[in-house]
Amino acid sequence: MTSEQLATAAPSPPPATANPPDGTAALVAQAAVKVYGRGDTEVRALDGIDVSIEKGRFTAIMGPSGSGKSTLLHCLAGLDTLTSGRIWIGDVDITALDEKHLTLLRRVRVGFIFQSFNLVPTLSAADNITLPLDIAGKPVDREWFDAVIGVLSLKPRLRHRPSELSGGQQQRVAAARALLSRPDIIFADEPSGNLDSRASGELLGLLKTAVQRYGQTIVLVTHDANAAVFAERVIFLADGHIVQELTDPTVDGVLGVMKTLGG
Amino acid sequence: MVKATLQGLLAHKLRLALAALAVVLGVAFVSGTIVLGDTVNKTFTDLFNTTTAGIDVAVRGASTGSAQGIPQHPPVPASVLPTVQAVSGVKEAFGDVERIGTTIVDQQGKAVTTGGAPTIGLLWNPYPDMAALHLKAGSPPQGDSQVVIDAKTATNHGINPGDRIEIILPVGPPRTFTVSGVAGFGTQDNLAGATISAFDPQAGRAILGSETEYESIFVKADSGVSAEQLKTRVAAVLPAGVEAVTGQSLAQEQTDAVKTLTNVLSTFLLVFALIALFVGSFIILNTFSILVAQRQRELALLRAMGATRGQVLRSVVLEATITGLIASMVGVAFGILIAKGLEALLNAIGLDLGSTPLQVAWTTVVIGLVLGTLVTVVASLAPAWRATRVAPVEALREAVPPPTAVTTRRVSVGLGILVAGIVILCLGLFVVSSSQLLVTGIGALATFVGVAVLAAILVPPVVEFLGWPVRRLRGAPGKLASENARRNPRRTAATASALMIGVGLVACFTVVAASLKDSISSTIDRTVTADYIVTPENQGAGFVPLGVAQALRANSSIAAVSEISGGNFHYGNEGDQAIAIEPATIDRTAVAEIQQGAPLASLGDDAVAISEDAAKNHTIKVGDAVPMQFFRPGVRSQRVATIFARNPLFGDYVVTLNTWRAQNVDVQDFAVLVKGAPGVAVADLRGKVESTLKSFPGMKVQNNAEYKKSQANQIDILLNLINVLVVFAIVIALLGVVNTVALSIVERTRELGLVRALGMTRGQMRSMVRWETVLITIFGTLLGLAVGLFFGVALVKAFASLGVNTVNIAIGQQISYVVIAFLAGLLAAIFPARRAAKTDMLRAIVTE
Repeated sequence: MTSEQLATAAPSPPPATANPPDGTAALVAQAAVKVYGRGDTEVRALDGIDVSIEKGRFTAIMGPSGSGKSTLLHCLAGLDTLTSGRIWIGDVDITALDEKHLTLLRRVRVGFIFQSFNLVPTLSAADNITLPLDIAGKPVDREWFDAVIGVLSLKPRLRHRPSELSGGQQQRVAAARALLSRPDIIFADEPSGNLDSRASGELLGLLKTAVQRYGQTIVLVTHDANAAVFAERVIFLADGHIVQELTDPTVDGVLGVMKTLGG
Repeated sequence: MVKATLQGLLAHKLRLALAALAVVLGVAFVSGTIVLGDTVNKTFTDLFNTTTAGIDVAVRGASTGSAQGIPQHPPVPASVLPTVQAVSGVKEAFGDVERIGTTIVDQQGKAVTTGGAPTIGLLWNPYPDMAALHLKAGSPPQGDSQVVIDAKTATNHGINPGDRIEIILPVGPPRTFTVSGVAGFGTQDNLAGATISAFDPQAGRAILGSETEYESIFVKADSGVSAEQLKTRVAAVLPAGVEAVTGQSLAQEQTDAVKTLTNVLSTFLLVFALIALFVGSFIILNTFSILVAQRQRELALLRAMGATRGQVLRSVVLEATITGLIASMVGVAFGILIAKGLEALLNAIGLDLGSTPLQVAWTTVVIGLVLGTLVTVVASLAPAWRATRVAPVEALREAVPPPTAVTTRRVSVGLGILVAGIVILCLGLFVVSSSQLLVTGIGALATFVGVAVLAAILVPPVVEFLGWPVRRLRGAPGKLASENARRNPRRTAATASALMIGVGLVACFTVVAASLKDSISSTIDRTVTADYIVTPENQGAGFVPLGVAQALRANSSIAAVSEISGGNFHYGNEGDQAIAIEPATIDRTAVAEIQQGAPLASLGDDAVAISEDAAKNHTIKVGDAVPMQFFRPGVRSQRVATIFARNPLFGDYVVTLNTWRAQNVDVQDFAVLVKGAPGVAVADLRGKVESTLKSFPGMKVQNNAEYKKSQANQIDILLNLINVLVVFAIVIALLGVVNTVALSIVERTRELGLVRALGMTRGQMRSMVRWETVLITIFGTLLGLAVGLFFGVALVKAFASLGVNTVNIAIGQQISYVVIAFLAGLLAAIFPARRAAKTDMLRAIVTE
């Protein structure tokens, strides 16, 4: 990321923090709590999460449904706000940012790949890929663009509209979009959830390549053990708590942990 | 199924609200217009029943034709009065004289003007049981220096019995009178806005310039003699060309005459009201289309559960019926308010409806309800039919319906309607001679529909083109705005088409008005050589009293005084207009392009000059005789002495002032042209003319340039009035834009959430929606301008025979409409933009 991009991405100076990130983490969450409802209907979706995501690593967050993994992703990505606790993306305390600055930060420091409906249907694949940069009014690095679409084999599809692409192609366009702005971190929320196993493996393999070749930080949220094994580190969530972690996971290892969690 | 419909209706009531508002406004306009018309008619019916209540029989000249659908009756010789008085059974007989152009001057020296109602001078009817006017204060006028005026004028201008006031008379110089009393008609203070001056029944005949004739003779029967009996007896003694009617049929005729006039007004307003409703139908069509598209899954589910196509159709139509009915009810209620507003407007321009309550007939309510509901239901039929095409399997698919492609069938249907519309329009304008307005209207309607159908094809390229600056200046939000405006061409087209209609009408009338102004201006330049033109200040209702020309002739600084007068006459059974000129001076004040025959200066009293158009239409040439029936009885055979190139000043038929005055009763001038004597500087002449006119308040002196300007102003006033009426339709169309964009935003929740997640700020989101709205608005405006300019030019071409010989498309004004549309688009965007900015990002991106 250039210094210019940083300047617009975090226009308000990061406030003095109690435990500032040490520089090796792309993202740090500290005592993150998210509560929905009140009184009898109170649900503690996140109940004191402390986590650090290392730079240049592929991390997966797993958990049974209702474990809070989606809420965690939304909060980490600045799409939702915490009830209490803090989250830093790089050296920016995003819990201290207002809605507008959060939006400006998301533009270039965060990338997204959602499970479905990733693309604006009126725009071509190329326009979808450059959309965050266009929204930010930033120039597109053509060399990097060519490199990304080369890796993702999207060159012949660039002029197509989303409705003319297969599910796998659509998700690869979303991945290209996420990679193009070289964000601090990419959040992928069940990106292969709607894909068949071949397309799924292809997409996750490409994400892994991005981590290995370009040092991109990626956080993958999934409930699928076959997807989680593409990551170098798996964090298990249950009832709003981090309950376990695996490094260099295997399918059997992940399934084993999931079984104990009742997922 | 009915239950599901009703629940659906409740669930969508907010979405339907704006569309329903379109129907409410349309129905309100329609019912308000009808209520107003009924109220005006009721006012006059009551008034004429009051004014003729005591009259058993009226004697008058047999009709010599009609003007604007109202029969005209010439006066009766004064000698008929004693003959009638001698008839047995006649208790009282009163000879009446009535002259328009009898203007009261208030104590500040200003002429009392009306918005358009006449200023009437008449004789005081001394028989109280027969009289329409009754004293409210003071005494009846006696001798040649007293007058009774209407109570309204008296109150408004602080005139009391005993005051001395000046009155401008139709003949001779103005005179000063003592107000002997103040009078009203029954409970009304005046005659629906007209001013009244009543003079002594004997002396008044000379004052009003009618010493040998009466307009009518009013007769009261002895007790025991019926009006019918008396009518028969009176009729038996009348000379040829004079007839007797009962007071009752007189009241009926007068009421009918007013109805003819109010019907013109009502029809005029009703046309705009129906246009508003027509525009509303586009909004309904669009709203139901969007709702059906959004409910695709719901409808598919119903179908999957066994609902038949018929049931789905009925459910949508039922929803439309209920919406239409409720909206129409609100509309009718709102219409009464509109009628109140229109009544106040009429009052402001001088038509006083007095104390008559608003007439809300049950037929008005029924018409409003039926019309509003019908329009809603008809507009919902196409979406309803489309709803039946939803296959049950769609229930299982992704919710977002793909925008339907523009089919070749649409192209051929659209082109068919458009071509038919243009052909019918041209038939109406250039070919048919009866029901022109109706045929032209149908043609215009079909043209609008044709363009609306074809508009869907134009959406992608035109919006692409219009969106260029938006994309350049607003980056990604601009690009998305332009893509959104063209993503569903049918929807954008329908929304824009609603706007097209209003804008088209405004553009059309602007072209006509500008061309008319140019033609009048160039006519004045080419034909008027006088230094000054004297006209009444109040051009709508006023005339130049004959005394003005007389006074000017006595001024030695003036070399030529040339009166211009004229009015209706009949050529066979056909009504037409004649212009009357003074041949002795016309060559020094005006120029006609003579094509054949003698110059106008040598026009004889037994001759007529005709335009080449009239010569062509009637296949007449110089030397032929033209049968002309003026107001007074007897067809005059006028020899064609001259054929000239038509222009708006001289019209088609020109006769001498002598001929005109001999054949008519109200013979005041439209204008008096003045040319200065040699050696008198034009600038000095104005002061001299003005000082001569000092005793004629309400006259103005203008040079050519000023006169052109005042003529242009009159046209602008009319144009603005029409524009105000069209604004209704435009407001409805803008509501439609708001509605369409707002509904589309609901449909795009997920997409909006996505772009917010990708870093679009709320401000950018608002900007995106704003530019989408503006693009739709501008697209509709441009369609409107295209159609409107075509209509305008076609209309001007059709008016060529009336002397509108230049086409001016008023490009500056048309551009200003685009600017206004741009601003209106920004305004329309406020609500949907706010809504879009509030999109809940998480709800949008979380997979259900």
